[in-house]
Amino acid sequence: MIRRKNEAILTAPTLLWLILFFVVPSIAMVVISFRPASIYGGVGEGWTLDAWRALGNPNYPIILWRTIWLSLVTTVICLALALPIAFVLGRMQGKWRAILLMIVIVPFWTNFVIRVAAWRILLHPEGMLRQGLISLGIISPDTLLLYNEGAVLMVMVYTYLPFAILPLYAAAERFDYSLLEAARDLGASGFTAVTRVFIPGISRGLLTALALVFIPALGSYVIPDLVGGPGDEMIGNKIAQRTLGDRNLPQAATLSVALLVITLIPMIVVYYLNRRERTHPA
Amino acid sequence: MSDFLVFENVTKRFGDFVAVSNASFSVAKGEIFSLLGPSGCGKTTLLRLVAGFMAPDEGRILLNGRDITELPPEKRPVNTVFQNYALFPHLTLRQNVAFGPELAKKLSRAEIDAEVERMLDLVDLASHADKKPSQISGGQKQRVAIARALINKPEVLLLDEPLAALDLKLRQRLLVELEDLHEEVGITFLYVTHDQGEAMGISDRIAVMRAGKIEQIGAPASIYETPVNSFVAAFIGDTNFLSGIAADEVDREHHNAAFDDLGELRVYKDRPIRRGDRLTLSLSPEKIALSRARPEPLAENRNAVKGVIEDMIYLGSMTRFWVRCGEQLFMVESQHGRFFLDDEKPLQWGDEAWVCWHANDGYMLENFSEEDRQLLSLPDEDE
Repeated sequence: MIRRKNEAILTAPTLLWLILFFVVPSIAMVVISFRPASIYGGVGEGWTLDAWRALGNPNYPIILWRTIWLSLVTTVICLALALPIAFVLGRMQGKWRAILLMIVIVPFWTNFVIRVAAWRILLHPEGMLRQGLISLGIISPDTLLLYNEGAVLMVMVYTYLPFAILPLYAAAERFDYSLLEAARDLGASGFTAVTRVFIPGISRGLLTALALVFIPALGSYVIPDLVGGPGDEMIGNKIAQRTLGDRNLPQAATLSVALLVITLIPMIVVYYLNRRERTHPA
Repeated sequence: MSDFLVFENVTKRFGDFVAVSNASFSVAKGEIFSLLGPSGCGKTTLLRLVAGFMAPDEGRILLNGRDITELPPEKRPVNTVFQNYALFPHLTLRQNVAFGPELAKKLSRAEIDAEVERMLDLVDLASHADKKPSQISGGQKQRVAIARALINKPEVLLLDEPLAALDLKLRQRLLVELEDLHEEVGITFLYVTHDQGEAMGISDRIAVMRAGKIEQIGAPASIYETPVNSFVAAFIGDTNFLSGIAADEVDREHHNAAFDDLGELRVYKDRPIRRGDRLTLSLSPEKIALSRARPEPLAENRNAVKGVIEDMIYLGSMTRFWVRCGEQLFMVESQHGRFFLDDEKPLQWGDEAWVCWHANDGYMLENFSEEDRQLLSLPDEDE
């Protein structure tokens, strides 16, 4: 009984925080999405489905699909790159491990927007990189490195890669690498040993990495805004435009609710996979 | 037949450290061959070279006449039982055991299932088949590891300290089970251990190793009774080293020798010696008798020296004494009579006692090095 009470006291601040800054705003957002927009940029009186009907605009499904597609590709590339890195990091000892981990973490010391802006300079049409590649004959003079989907994808991979590496590394570090020897001993090739023993062994980390990359990627808007072209907008950009440009808060709220629902799907999947693993412990 | 698994001048270095130095020996088909030595002697390295987890810097390894030195581990007809079991935590016991045959793809699903069932039965774990490794005990894990290796019908089963992580009782039981299993499957075992009792108990032959070199290979009894040097003598079991100088010959088999602190004693000539030669005997503690009075008359070729009991440990089945004769400290193990409270008053700390042994029970070492005395058990310094 006392334990129960203590638990309640200890978790109360977190609960309060979540209610104040997550549950209440989310409910407010849903409510606003059913309100009309006032001409002064506020929220009008009464109830309407206008904002939801506007989702029928053929632009939105395209943007929504692009958002999901870019986030999925980003996630796949990040996991594919992070897996071998985590595999090596987890196996390393001492000094080198510390140095390489540092390299992964160092970008966090600089503001995210500044890092994306730096990519703009790097990839700029008049920038060294593009000019260099043209003079080496690797790209044709009419190829642009900036303001296209490729640039958005690359900067997204760059941004979210550490979020894939760190949980995978944490899992790999706990992984018993002698299991790979056991697999080889039983007739598995090096590759089979990794797919059949290493990847199942770090599955928890894999799920975490998946959630940590895919969910924030869905909400990207600085990256397509800074390095993408007009045809590379993601749902985040639309929300920003509706809020700041059009001052149509109900419309912005509707798009946000749509994004929230899309985000909830992978979260629920991860939650159930994790729970299943916990009830059938490894 | 006797050259089933052959090591030819195998050397393995890690940087400047020589883990295995020019090892050449062979293991016969179907035997249990142990690599015995203190930690860091290179025994596990040799095993890993056979498994294929590393390649030797020099030399080659032949299995059944085929050079396997360069083969990757998955291509070798050998399987390993790891010290830490190395069971796959995400798979059930059944799936763990099926891992090898599933990859080999030689059998149908039904055949694999039947084979897995048979192996789990063999190690007495059929009723736990659907548990995960985290749900069973250490001894059970070890048996799964053995089943998982044996199901592949390896030509050699490599066992890396398979019992080291288990407690004494379980170790003794599994040792017997391993021996039974060996009889049943008839596969060659290469067994790595640092425990001389384990090696003596299970092996057909033992290779005693030190610092990357093989010191002696032989049957347990021959290594115990006729160790080639003081290291082997001290590592294979506790012993006493007695040093002296050869004096006159007594007969074709015996010699007299003047021992430091002990005077002139009779020794058995295990090898030809001449007057004036320096010699060292290894004399096992169980071969020495203790008595309050000097045995009269002293039988032919028996030795008796007088000492003082400096320490003793009661070990249940026997008592271990340390008896001081000048600089020489004898370790004596004496089994109890059928009745613990015998007629004679038991020996106590500080009592004078006679240390007696037959000359033929001492073994004349070919090589003695003073530092090997450190391997011998000494009475507790604190007392």
